[in-house]
Amino acid sequence: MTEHMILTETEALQLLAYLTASAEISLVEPDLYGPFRLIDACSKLAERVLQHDPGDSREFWEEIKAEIDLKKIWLMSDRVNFREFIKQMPAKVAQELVRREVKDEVVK
Amino acid sequence: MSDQRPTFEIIQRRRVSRFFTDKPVTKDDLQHLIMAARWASSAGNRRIHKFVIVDQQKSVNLIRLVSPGILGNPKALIVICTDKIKAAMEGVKLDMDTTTWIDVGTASQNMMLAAHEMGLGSCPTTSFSKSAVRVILNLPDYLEPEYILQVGHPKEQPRSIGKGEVAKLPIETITYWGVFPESD
Repeated sequence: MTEHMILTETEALQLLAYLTASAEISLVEPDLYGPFRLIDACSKLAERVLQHDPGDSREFWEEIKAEIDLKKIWLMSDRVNFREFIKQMPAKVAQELVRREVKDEVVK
Repeated sequence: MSDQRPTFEIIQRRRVSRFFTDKPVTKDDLQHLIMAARWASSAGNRRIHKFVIVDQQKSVNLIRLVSPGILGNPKALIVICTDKIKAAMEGVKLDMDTTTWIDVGTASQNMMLAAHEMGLGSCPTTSFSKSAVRVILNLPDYLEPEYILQVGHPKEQPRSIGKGEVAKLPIETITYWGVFPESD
């Protein structure tokens, strides 16, 4: 894990633009679009992280981004599986958190 | 029912394109799309909409940042705006008159069909921040951005369809003929 890695201010501003725009349009869009905008923001976050060379974490970020980009558009074709996908994503991120905890313990 | 008709074939084959190649869209092509929009039906022939073409990549990218509905990388955008001055001149009550939205739709559909016929891809967008787009394009107060059409040369994109794919609805499930029978 590369602890030094951060977004540049410009990248943070770009994400801020996306998130504030999402918040605005969520006032009028169907409820299920809210989770869609958030998961799409996760993809954008992963994209930015990958641009900053996440080292040995690259595979995790690449997989997360690829899965989101593949499945997020299920919103428009398959809402049952879209909901399942949204429910499962936090578990995948949690697995990575746990993996890193264990790895850090071993290093200590 | 025969569907071997040129217009019907274009209608059937057109698909939304969300991802595009790097090939730019020519000004001539974009002007043809506006011409197609101009031929669209308009309530009372009032024609209260204006079309803002955005083909500079820098501006396209800025609008992408405030448009969550733009998932890909369009090469150009056409922003349909309501001209409030023209609307007032025509006596249109914008807060009540829903036909103005229909006019946006007919213009958009004409552009999407024309784009398809020209080998271009297009994607309708309503999920964008109006206030932010107004700032980025420096729109005057009398122009209200209503809708964005993404345009570009379509990129092949593997379709990601899950088990419960939403298919085209059978005609009989969306059609009623004539007068509804009296309910018991």
